[in-house]
Amino acid sequence: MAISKKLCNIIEALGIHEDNDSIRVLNEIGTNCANDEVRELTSKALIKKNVKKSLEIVIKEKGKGINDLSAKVAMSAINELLSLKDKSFATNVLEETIAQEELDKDIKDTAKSVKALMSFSI
Amino acid sequence: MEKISPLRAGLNAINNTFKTNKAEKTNNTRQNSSNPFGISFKGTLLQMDVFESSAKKSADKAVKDNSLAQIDKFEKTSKVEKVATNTIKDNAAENSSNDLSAVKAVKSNPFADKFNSFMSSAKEVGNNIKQNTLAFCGKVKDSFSKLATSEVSMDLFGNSVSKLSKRPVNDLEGMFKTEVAKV
Repeated sequence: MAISKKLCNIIEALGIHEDNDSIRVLNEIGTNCANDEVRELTSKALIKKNVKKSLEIVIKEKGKGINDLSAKVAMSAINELLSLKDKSFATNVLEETIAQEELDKDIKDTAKSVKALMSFSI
Repeated sequence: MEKISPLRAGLNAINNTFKTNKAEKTNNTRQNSSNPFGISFKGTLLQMDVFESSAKKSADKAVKDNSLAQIDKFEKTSKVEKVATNTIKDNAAENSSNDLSAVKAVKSNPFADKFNSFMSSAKEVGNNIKQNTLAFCGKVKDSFSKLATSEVSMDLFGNSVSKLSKRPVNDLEGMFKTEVAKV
């Protein structure tokens, strides 16, 4: 089912909001939504914020952002990461993810692949 | 001999005149009925029956051909009567030219041409109306299908991204939850 224009605007508004509490709202409601389109838009909004806290959600957490079970959502998040002008924060978070031993192997492998893609795109 | 009174003679004369007039009137009616549309050629009302059957036409043609052949034969055998044969031949040619004129009048009749052109233009207009109507019906159908899938929103300016981004996060959180619940 297609989402409404109002919902799109709310997610986009939370993405450009100055208050960092918007990251919490997007994480709690948007990334846990059953609708693929809502998760896709939320991941994009979190990546557009381009801060460490929001990037950690889409890179390190299982089932969210680049680790989403939906290939469309995951590819959309990776594409958004590759289209960032300033990739320094994203690169740092990806390196931290690869280095962290307590994280799942799948998450690390995904982070490695995305980091390789980002190195090509710079 | 029978003696006829002046009164009886007058009555007989009146009766004969009435019969003659009636016969002329019937003849005129027949002539008019042979050309019911009053078709004229070069300003003259056609008097001959132009609606005769094709069988009759072919029979007449055969008779004319036969007469022309006989005239030619006669012309070869007798040079003395050349003047008379020429007269007969001219008459035959005149008759055939009259027939051709009648056919030509029917074929190239301005009334028939106008009627045919009117009919063809009417047919064309009808086809155009039909095509336009079908196209219009298709557009109406598409519009209704679009209308069925479209969403009517009255609060157009209050829900813009720039307005929403200036509102507190708590308000946006409530709205976000409400909208997600609708999905």
